[in-house]
Amino acid sequence: MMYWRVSWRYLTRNKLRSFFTILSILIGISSIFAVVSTVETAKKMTMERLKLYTGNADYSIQSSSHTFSGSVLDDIQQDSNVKAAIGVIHKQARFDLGGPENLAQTRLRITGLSSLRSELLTLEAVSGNLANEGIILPQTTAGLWKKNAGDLVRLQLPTGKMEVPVAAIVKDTPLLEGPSSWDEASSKSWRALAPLQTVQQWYSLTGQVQEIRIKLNDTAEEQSALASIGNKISDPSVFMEKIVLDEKQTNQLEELYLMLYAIGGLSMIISAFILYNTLYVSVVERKNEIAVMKTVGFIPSQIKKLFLCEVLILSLLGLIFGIPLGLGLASLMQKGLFHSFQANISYSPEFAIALPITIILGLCIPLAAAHIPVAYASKIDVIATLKQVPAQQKEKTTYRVVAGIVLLFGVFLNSIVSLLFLLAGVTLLFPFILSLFTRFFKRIGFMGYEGKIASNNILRTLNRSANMSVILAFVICLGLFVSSIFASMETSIESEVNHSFGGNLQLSTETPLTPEKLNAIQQFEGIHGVTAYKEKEVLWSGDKKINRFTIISANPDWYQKHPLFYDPQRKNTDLLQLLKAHPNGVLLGDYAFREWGGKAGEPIRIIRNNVPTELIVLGKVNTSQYGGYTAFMEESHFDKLFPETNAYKGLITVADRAAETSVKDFLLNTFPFDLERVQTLSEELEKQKRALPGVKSLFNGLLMISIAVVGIGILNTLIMNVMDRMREIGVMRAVAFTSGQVITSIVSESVVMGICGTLMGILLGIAMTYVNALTMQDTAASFVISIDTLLLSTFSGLLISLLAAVVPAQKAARYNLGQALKHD
Amino acid sequence: MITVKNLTKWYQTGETSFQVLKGIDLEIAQGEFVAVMGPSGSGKSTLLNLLGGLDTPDSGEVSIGGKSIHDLQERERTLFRRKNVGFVFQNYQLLPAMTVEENIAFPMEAEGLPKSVVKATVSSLVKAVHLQGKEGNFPSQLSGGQQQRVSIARALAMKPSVILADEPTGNLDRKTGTEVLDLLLSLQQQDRLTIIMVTHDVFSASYADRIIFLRDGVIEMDIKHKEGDKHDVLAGILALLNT
Repeated sequence: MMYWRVSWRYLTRNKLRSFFTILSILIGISSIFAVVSTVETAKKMTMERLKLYTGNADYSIQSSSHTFSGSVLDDIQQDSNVKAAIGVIHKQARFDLGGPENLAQTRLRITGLSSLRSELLTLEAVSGNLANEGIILPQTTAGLWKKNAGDLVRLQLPTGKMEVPVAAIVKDTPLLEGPSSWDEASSKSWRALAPLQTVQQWYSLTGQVQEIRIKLNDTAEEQSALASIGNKISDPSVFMEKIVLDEKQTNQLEELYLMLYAIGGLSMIISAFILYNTLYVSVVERKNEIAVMKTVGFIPSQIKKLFLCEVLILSLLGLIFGIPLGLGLASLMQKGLFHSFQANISYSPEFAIALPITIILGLCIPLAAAHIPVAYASKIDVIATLKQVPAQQKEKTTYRVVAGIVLLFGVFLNSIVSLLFLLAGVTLLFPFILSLFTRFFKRIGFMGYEGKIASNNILRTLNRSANMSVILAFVICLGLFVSSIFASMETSIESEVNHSFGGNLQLSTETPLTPEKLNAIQQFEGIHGVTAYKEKEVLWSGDKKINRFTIISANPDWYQKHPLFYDPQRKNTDLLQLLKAHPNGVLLGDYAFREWGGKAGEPIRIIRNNVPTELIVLGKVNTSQYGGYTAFMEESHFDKLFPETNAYKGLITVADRAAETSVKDFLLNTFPFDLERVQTLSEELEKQKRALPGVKSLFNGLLMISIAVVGIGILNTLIMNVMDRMREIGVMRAVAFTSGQVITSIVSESVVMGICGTLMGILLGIAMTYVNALTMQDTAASFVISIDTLLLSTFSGLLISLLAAVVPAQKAARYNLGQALKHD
Repeated sequence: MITVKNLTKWYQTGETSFQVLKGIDLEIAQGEFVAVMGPSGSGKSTLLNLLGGLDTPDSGEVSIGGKSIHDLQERERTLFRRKNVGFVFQNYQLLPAMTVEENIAFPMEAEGLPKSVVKATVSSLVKAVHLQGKEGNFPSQLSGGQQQRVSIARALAMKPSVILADEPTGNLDRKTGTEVLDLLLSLQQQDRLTIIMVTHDVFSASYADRIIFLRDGVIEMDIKHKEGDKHDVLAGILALLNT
């Protein structure tokens, strides 16, 4: 108890210092909490959306003939191994609300389900009744259409126009994810549900289903269950596949998560630096007390315990106030991030993992930061301290400079690790760099005599000042680095989509794209060429788990001019020849290649129709398809490997890009009940770039938080410097200095630290971006530095150092002269 | 019993080194009140620090109650000091963030003694040093004499056999200094404590029953005086101090 009580008194003796230290820790903790919660929420949301989309099913039965007899469903439902099964058909329709909607905006994808109350579905009616006759709409769609349960919707179906009632309105769910605005509806179909029988009737598919999703009984033995179900399938075109949820198929956010962790963690690291500084100063101030403690019987571990109690009090206060702040910050971040991807997305914030992680980090990071000062405290020499023997200058500076220079050579390692060497080297050299800067400012007479006093003060507390200056440099460096990544991402998205769109328009259909359909498309005046291509979703086994991605068949003739992939280092013809020459060869998209983790020439194990097969990875290519989480195989080889697969996707080239819209309208008119999606190159570009501004704002917000924490750190350092020198400041004021001169000298001290940190941050940022561009060999990481960001960094660095000086300068100027002179 | 054998200590100042203690041999019996005197730089405080195990000798040995303290590791030495040696400093060296009773309790808390023991000991020590009513005060709220009494109480907290006092009245006026010396004397007589007090002050030394005079790191004079010859001995020391 004594430890806690005494520690608390030490903290309250230096209220301002403790307050700012706690403030920085709580901001660090809140940003860690917000980042972890956001990432975990995003991961959970992605998985849940996938589960909701697939209805939490274990297996899917499909047919190479697109549809198959629904009697299979009846048979399967009788199987004791099956807990639930549901038959599905997806079809396209048109609707007419009597408004100004254009052709593209009136596409409705209707999903027919054999049961609307299956446990494979999560439908929550907000109005109406699922059992009523008619279509079921998601809430957002009903809102935009201004329809209530019971209202009629005019549908255009193959059987003609008809008025259909809205049976129920349900909460938004991924299975029914339509556009969130009329604008978005130009490139995305609206969604509705209807009973399977109704859809079969509307589309003349009586007794047919497109897919059956199955959930096995918890007690069922998988192999025997599969055999039993397999026996019920007599049609050779019908096959069964395991459903594996792989969030990477729809979510390529791993890099975003990493960047979020880096920036969120930065605030915590900065606060740890601040704590380190504060504690170090506190130990130095209390050296005499520590010596006395040792004299009267305190052993080193008890000294450590005393200081660790202080650190724990600071951390606990940081946690108590930081976590509620983090909750608010997490809510803001999640709203900002998820809505930048999709406006009507629903999610429940995830705190179960964020809370323990934050508590652990919130305690461990400060304790780690306290390690050096606390160890120093426990080793204080009693005699030297009590006798006030001046500390002997050790040769640590030389070692530090040498180690710093040696680490800088790590930059030439030509790998991402070189960035760490760069940062570590600069950190070690920073006192030396700040010393050079300060001496330079002194020599040029920056801020006159007050500037000279400020320079002397920085040199006296060089390590303490360098710690804050280096942190400012890191924040500015990271700001530049992140902004350069965004700038190059924008460029690379454009380049990637332009190089791998496969033509001017992409389309996908509900029924196979037959030669007849292609012929009909080819007849349209503005169309230069059209081709269909096949895709097959397969399972592939990684190190730890089974994953799922799509293999795309590559038509060499079409890909000569309009490929769906490219490699900046190699000619397309070479890649196509490579594919042609290897019957089992695939080229992996960059994201898939990274996830797979092997080297070109090594095999990748896929599972085809429940049979493991090895394919040879021929290399890595860039592609905008599935965010790079895909593979490409030469068309003829693909057909041999997946003979049951049909083509549902097509690529179109137009003679003139101006004709893209008219071609799109033609397709919408020609295939009103079959076209699932049609997208032009510019629409795809717009879609891919849509999330960037939101994500960018999020990162800028987090960086601003880090800059604010740095400001607190500089402020705290200056307060400590001022308190250290209170007597000296008192003498200066008593003898000659005006309050204004005191303020000028303290502001100059802060500005010199700020200028050094800002300039070094900019240089470091440019160096890091350059090294990253060199080492990554990835088009997404090119060397781009925007002038705007440079100016913003300079401005924020200087502003924060000016602002940080206000409180300490005022404190010094207003301090009672008599008290200051008595200060010991 | 404290035994010092051939104790030497060198100090290094920049390029030059000098010997502060040049082979001290000494025996101090339990319950003796010893004043260590000598001019500045004679090695008084160094001797005291070596006796308390705060510093380590270059050669020689110090044993307290038969235990050679410099053979102990630093941790064991601290624990030994905690239990057996009390320190009183010229500038009191109280812990500013602790109240009077917390300062006194500090060595006992460090030892982990039961709360009831700590409470009872603090209470009796507060009475012994006449600081009743000041238990909750912080050092900054006390006079110099009161602070020195807290320091003495803290030194006595673990019931040590030896008290090492380095100029305990150096910062006090004569009246307060006399009060402190009276207190030390009464404690020594009451508990048969061994007190070794470094002092410049002849008046303070007059409280001791043995005076050791150091000069240039060697014992120049070691005399035990009786009531009768006290005046003559002090006059002799004054003469030594002036040479």
